[in-house]
Amino acid sequence: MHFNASLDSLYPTLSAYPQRRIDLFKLQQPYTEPTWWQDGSSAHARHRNQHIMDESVLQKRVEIKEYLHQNVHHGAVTAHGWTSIDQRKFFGITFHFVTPKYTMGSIVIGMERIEGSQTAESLLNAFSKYGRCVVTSRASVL
Amino acid sequence: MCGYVASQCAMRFRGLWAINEWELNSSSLFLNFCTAGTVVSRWGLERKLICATTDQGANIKKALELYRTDSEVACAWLPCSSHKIQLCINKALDSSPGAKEVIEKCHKISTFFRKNPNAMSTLNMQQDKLFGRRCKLLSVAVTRWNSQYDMALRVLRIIDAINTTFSMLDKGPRSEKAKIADLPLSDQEKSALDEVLRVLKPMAEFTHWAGQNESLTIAQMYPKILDMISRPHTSNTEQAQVLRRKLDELLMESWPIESIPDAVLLAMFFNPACASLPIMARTITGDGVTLLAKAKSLATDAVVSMLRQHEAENRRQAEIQLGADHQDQAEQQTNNPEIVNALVADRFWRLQAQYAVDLYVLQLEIDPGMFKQYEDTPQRYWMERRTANAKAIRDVARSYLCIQATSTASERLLSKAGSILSSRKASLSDRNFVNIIFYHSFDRFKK
Repeated sequence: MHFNASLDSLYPTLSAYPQRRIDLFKLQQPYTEPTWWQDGSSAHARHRNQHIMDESVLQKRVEIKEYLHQNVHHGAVTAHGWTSIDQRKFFGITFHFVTPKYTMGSIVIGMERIEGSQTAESLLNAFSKYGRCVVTSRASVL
Repeated sequence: MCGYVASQCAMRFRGLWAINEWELNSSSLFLNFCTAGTVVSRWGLERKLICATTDQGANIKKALELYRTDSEVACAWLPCSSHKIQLCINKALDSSPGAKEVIEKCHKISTFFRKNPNAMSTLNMQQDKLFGRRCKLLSVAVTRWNSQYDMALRVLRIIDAINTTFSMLDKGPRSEKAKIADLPLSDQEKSALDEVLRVLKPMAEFTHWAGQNESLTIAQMYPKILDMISRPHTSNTEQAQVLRRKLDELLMESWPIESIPDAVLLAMFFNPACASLPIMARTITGDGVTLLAKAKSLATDAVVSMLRQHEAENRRQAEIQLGADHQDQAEQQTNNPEIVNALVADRFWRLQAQYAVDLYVLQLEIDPGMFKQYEDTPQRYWMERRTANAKAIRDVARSYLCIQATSTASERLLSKAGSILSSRKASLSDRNFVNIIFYHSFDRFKK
């Protein structure tokens, strides 16, 4: 239990984990001694490989964002709320636009978890998590 | 509001804020608002939003209203057309007792057969004898769209078999007789049911059509609604006539022509098949301005702002090309010789915009029949129209033709989410679940 919690908090450093297949480019990099959470002996495979999916999704999202900013003047959104069978609440948002080739295009821009229980604590969390983004700079924190 | 929120938040951090009832009630609403705002700002799309389409839930409606007013984003709100037409149907049925009664009777027949296996087997035999094939009787669910219509349609389809079955059951034991005493439909009721279903048919078809369409825009949808309202009354029975009248009233209320939102009016205007309809010549209440005139002035404004954007973009690119040292040169290159200062520039752009819009309207007036082909794909018209000065108006059309009429796109997304987060995979973490959703959307993303 304790172990998992610490892994989660160290998640960003996991992306530096060395892959099994020999990467010629990486061999030329200076070798650094892996620390105990990076050596792969203790962590579960799905924790070790988490960053691969995360990063590819992030990269693709950045690509799409750039595409939208270059090619689309205006668009419309549709939004809908949903509760999963284990009572998690999500909020799905799609973005629609006309492409430069004059066809309809659409993309999912958000699938956000809404913390369901309406207590003071969850509200406070929501404020610190979401509120600041809305209130302050609107910087792109993708 | 945002400032207010920030201050409240700070107070809360200091422990000064007491929880009150209002806060507890509206916290989910507030979360929605925060979430939508965050997602949009994360993608940097605030300035690009024209319209948001959702269902008519009070929380989401309020959330988007708050978002619109307090974060200074010019984003209109539209209710989902499929949801709205279903509400219209239900209200109309509730307020016309005759039609409601006939459909209730169908429901009774349907439930009687679904609950009596013996009667059902007799019915099936009768169906085999009469039609050579069997139909199931359907059930009604409030949340399933058109389920009342489908159920009644099925009853009407096999009504002959049902009536013969009733006459056979009538000869059976006494307990059965009492149950089916008031169930059979008389000829009069049968014809009434037929007429009522004829009235409801276009609504049901519209819902199917709107649901099937992957991204149905408001410009495509408005002519269909107008068609539905302007159909001639052909029904003879009283129930159907009352229902039809109520439906027309409700449809006119829900999709008003006079108080149509600006973004929607522009979307209609940029669909050539819709803009050449006679409805656009109707005057809006008050100072005798026609819809077309209002749309023209709105379109001109939009084109002017688009021209301004283009100019700024040109200037920025020239600056990038020449480097920051040569800003004066860049201005000389990009500025038209006519443009001396901002006022003159504005006047110049306005003339240009008026010219572009007038040209478009003139084409519509010359040959309105020609544009029928663009009814479902108005984008194609703007793709084909590549004249010298049309760049700005084409871009404006592009930005208004994307307004969604239904929220089916996000509902489809969440239906997919339902199959991903199924009972077998209920412990999928939020992060992985969202990643999978995004992967799916990347597959469907077409440039």
